[in-house]
Amino acid sequence: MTNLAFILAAYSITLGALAAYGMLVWSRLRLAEHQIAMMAPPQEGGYGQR
Amino acid sequence: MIGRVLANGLGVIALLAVLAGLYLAFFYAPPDALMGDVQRIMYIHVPTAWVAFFAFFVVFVASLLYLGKRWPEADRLASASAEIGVLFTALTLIAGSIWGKPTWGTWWTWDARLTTTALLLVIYVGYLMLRSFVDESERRARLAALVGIVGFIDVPLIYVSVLWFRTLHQPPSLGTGGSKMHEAMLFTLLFNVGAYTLVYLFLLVKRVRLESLRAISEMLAVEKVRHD
Repeated sequence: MTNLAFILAAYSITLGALAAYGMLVWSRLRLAEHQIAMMAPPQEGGYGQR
Repeated sequence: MIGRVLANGLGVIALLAVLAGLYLAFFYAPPDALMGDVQRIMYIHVPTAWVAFFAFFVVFVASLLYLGKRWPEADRLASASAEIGVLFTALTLIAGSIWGKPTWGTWWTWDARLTTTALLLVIYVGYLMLRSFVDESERRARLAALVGIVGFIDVPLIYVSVLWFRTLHQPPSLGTGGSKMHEAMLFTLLFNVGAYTLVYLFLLVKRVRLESLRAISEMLAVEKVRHD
């Protein structure tokens, strides 16, 4: 392995892992919001609701 | 709504700071006189280590707050920060190992700094496992707070490990006694420390929101069971 390969490996693993973790948190947030929307009691008398 | 806009704004600033930090690390900072270009790994290894220690400091403070005041928000903050801290500790060990191979000739050695850092990872992985094993929220928060406080003892040990023991690892890059680093190198390092701290803060805001939503979800589930 050349020095460039070591540098690229260190940076790509670190930045890739941070990006993947960010995406994971984002998808868990969307899922939690969706679950709460499903569980919350239906609102009555709101505008635009039938 | 305003909170979400501010959090996303912080994310954009963090991303721009990381990109600027990459530019500084590869095109502004000079190569090291002894190690050459491979020393550029320092600009990602030291900031991730700093963020990991900072994240566990947040766990420590939030755990103390929880035990003192029993605020559920403090427990959620500790939980969120611990998960991010574990990620940054793992990345510190990986980047350090990659840097170690061309400079020390080995991926890993049971040196005092490396061993205490690996121990830190084990402690906080244990912290997260404990949180997932205990169902009752009050008991989970109390036990986790104790581990969060005791586990933090390892952080100052990591810092002094290179001063107290004969190790392969270099002395602290940043410390109270100033730095002997080239100005451009020091600026690049400090800039990257700031950039990754912003990334941590962005992830923390999102992760704390996730914890809050989970708490609401648990509350709604209990309400539903009572109602049925």
